[in-house]
Amino acid sequence: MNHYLFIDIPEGLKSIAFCSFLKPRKLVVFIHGFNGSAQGTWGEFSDIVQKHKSFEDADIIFYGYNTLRTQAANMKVSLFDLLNKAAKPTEMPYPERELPEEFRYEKIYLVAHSLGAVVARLALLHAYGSKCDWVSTCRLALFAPAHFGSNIPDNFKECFEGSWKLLRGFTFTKCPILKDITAGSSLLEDLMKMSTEVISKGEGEFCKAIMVVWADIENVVISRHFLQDEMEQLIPKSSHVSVCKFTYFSPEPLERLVRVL
Amino acid sequence: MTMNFEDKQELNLRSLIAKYCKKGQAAKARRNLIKAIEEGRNGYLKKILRSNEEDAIDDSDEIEFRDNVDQLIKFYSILELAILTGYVSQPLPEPLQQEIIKILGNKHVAAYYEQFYPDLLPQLLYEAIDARKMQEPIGDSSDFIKLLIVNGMIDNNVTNFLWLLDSGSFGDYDLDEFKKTLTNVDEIQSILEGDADFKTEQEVFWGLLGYLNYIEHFDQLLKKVSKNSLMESAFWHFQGYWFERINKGVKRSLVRCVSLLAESSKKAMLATNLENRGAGEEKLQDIEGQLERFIVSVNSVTNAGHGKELKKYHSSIIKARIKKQLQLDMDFFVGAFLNQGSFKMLHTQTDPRYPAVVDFINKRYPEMVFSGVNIDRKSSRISFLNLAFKNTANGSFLFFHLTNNSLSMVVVEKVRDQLYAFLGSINRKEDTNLPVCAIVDLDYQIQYALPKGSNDNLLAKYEDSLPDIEDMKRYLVEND
Repeated sequence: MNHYLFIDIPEGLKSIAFCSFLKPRKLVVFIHGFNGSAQGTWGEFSDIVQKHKSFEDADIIFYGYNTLRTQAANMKVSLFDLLNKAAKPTEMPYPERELPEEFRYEKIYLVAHSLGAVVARLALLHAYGSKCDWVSTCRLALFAPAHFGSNIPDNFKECFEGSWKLLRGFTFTKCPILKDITAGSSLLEDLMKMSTEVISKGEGEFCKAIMVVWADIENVVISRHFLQDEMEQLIPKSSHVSVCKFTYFSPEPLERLVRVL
Repeated sequence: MTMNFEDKQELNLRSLIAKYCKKGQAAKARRNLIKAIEEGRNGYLKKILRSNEEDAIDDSDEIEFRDNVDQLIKFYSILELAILTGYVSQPLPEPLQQEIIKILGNKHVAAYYEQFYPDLLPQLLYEAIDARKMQEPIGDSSDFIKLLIVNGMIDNNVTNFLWLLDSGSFGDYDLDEFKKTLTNVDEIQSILEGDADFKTEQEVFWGLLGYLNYIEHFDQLLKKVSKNSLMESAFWHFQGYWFERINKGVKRSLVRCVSLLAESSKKAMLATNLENRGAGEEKLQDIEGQLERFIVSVNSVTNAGHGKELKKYHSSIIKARIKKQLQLDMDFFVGAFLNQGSFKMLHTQTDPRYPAVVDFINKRYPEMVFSGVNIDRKSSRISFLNLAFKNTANGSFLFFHLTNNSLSMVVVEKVRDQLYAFLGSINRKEDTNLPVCAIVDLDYQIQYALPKGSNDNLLAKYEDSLPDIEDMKRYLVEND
């Protein structure tokens, strides 16, 4: 094991952090999608990150947030608040590691799934707009991103896992987020516009995802290339939900991720 | 700079203490228990840690105290699992060991986690520390971390739901009311939309969903570690007490709640999916499939068979300890007593005479070596405790026979035949020809004593090395 016992962090919903025993060089933040959970979305990632060499020198956060009660713009502010604090680890409730107060990570990776990719990108644009110095160290690694939304928002119920499947009969039309992730929504149009603007200024490395992995069987989001993101890859036989789930029997999500870390 | 394994283990221990014991309920329990123990407030501890079957617990201060103690005992269970998975090193730091002995070794605390609400993990921890024995790691520390993460799924909403499930209520809102909520499609829809009018219902509803998720993840974890049956059993025992209760009656209510939710979901779907039959079929299958999966999971995690391996392991630890205490291979006893199949030192914790007698002999008669203990439980009221000491100077054995209202000593030369005869005669209440030295009752009044110089050959042979009964009486009274 390469990390301290996980720490509950107050930001978001059941978010936890693993701090490296070593002096960390990078921060990796996992951001789930619609109706996901801090760790459940990612399968056994929370297990493997504590042992895998690629994460040995990484502080890791599994960020959870409520996707049913509010709009994407509000979610981005919450995520920004976390990132703004987590970028300076001495301000987090981490174990004492004798890091200087001015310590900063060399790189911050945001690993996001589905709606989480939209929220992550919005949060980084928010950080850019707030002139945060850490944003230039950020890089996006995305699984089945929802940048172009969904043509049939009701298909997002495919994201329902476990006990949530019992609720498939109910309607969720009043969830604010569904309007945001409908194809052609004003939010998604703004996202495209702001990203294009930043990239055109030559300042948007954080806006160019270094990894984009699509599901082989994708019924939920519209798969389309986004601006200057890396070219997409597929994980064979994966669905919208399973594409980001690492298990010891399906290691592809991990293998794709460690290539870019 | 890399960190070595031992340093990591030390940091791990500090992290566990910081997370689970340094603040909150466990810390309060720790402070309160140490204070009560050091002040000798045994009557207070006996009352507040009593069994709820003996006397209902409804005072809010008592409930709070006991809830705090439950969290401290949970910490000790976590510590034991951390040891068993090699997450922390052994031996534990000496101050921590002393504290654990003080708290878990207190007879009223011990009664709480041994008899009233049996929990094997803190028992194993105590046994190992008391015996100064290192425990062999049996599992993977990453699975231990996973268990803690899964356990973190029990949040306030889940606790509220479990309270309801266990016959609690929030004002007038009880389990029956919650079941009505689960049959009301409109009410559930309002809860899902976050309607502020249904606050209690919301919390309990999300608690139900949260608990279902917990059960699913816990079942997956048990399956993951199932190749290591002892580790699986130890993980199961972490929640064992609650799962045993589920098995006993609460399970039916839990399954009923989930079935009602599934039915309401199907009703809601039928009302809105009249046009799209295909999509409706798929949703129906999803709902029914998830209900079936849940029932399989809950049957799996509540299967008490998961607990057997650790119980066997615990028994073997106790037997090994007693066998080590025996100076000879006395095959007629290795501590025979049963309480629902578990192996427990009942009287070592609750009978003050046992440690007092052992202490007395150890201090006054160093040539006497403790050889072992045998407990025989005849009924719920009457039991016999036999302690054996070997006199290394002359090879004889000194037995103390303690019943509920007497204590007798006997010296025998040959262990097997004479002891059997002695015990047999006591049980039949016959006069014995054996050299019974004295019989005292619980008030230490001598009821019968053979005077020195009697005709009994055996007594005459060993009387100089017999404990002085008056001396022992004084000692026992002073140390009671």
